Amino acid sequence: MGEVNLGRENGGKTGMLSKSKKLSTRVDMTPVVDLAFLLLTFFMLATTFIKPQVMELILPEQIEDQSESKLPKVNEKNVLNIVLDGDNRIYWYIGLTDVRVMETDYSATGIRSVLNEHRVRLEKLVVLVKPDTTATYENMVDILDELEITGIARYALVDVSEEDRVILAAYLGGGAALAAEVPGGLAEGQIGPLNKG
Amino acid sequence: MTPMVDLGFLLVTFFMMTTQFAPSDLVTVAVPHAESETKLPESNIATILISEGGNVYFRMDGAKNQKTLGTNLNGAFGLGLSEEEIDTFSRLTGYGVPLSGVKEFLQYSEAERKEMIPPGIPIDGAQNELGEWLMYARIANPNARLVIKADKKTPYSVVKTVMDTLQEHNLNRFGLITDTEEAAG
Repeated sequence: MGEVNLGRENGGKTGMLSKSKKLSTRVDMTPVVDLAFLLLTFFMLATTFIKPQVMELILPEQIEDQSESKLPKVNEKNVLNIVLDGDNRIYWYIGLTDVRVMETDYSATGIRSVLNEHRVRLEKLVVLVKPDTTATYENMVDILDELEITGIARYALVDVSEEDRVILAAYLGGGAALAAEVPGGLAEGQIGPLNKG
Repeated sequence: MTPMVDLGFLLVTFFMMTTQFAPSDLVTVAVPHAESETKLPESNIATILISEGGNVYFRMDGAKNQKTLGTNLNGAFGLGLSEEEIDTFSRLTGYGVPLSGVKEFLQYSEAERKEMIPPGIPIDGAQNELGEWLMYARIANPNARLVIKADKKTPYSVVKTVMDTLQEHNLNRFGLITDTEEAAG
C-alpha cells in the first residue's frame, strides 16, 4: 500500500537498466479507490439509516354536537376497555356493567394474547384505549402497536370516564391511587359510597 | 483502475449531494419502540417535539418556509422583528419559546442560543400557542406532513393536550415517530 509503482515489473537487472531510461509515471491507484469507497460506504449508510419510522394516526373529526344522540353507540358486551395506569400497569374489562377487572402487562404474552383472544371471540369487538394521566407516551404507543400487530381496526383513544374510575376503584379496593386524579373534582369521599352501591 | 476511481468518486459526489444530515434537535428525545415500518419522507415535515419533561417544541424544514412562517407570525402577532431577525428565525433548527419571547430569543448570539434550553411553546389552556404555530406553518407550507416526536417517558397528559390541539384545528392526520429497534435505557 502506498508505494509508487516504479515500473519494476520486468524485475531483475534488465529492469534496473530500463528504469533509468523511461521512468513510468503511473501511480498506484489502490489507496485512492479505498478512500473513495470508504466515503461511498459512509454516505450510503448515513443516507439510509437516518430516516425515522412513523406510525400513522388518524383522529376522528371533532364533533360539534356532543349530545348523546349524535355519538356512535356500541353494545357494551363488545367493548374491551383497556385502562393504562402508571408504572406500566394495564387493567382490562369487558363492558361497563358487572365487570371483572383483570390486570396484565405489555409483554407478548400479556396484552397481546388478551387482544387476540377477544378478537377471535367477539366478532364486533371495539377496543377503547383509556390512558390515565399517569400513563406515559410509551404506554400509548405500545398499545397502538399491539392493536396494529393483532389487526384490530376498530379502536378508539378516549379518556378514563368516571364510570371507569368507579370500576377501578372497586377493583383496587379503596381506590386511593386513582381517586386523586378524577377530573371535575370527584373527591375520595364520593367514591366510597359508590363503591358499596 | 482509473475508471473505477472515476466511478467511485462519481458515486461519492452523488451521495454527498443527496445526503441530508438530520438536523440536531433542540432536546434529545428517546422515541418509543414500535413495529411500524412506514418511513418518513425526507422533506416537507413539520415536527412537534415533546421532551421528557413535557416541553413542546416546533420544527419545520426549508429555510423558505421558515421565513414565510416568521414573516406571517410577525405580522399577525406584532412581534416587532426586523428583516435581519426574520432571517435568523428562518435558520433556526426549532422553536421553543412563547410568541412574546421570540424577539428576545433572536437577539441572543448563536452560541448563546445553543447553550440555553428554551422553555417550550405554551400549550396550557388560554395560553395555548401551539395551534397558532401549526396554523401559520400550514400557511407557509400546505404540503408539510405533521409528525409528533415525543420521548417515551413523556406523561400521556401532555401528549393528549397536544393531540387535542391538533384536533381543534382539524389536523386529524399525523404520524408518531417511532423506532423499530429497542433503544437502550
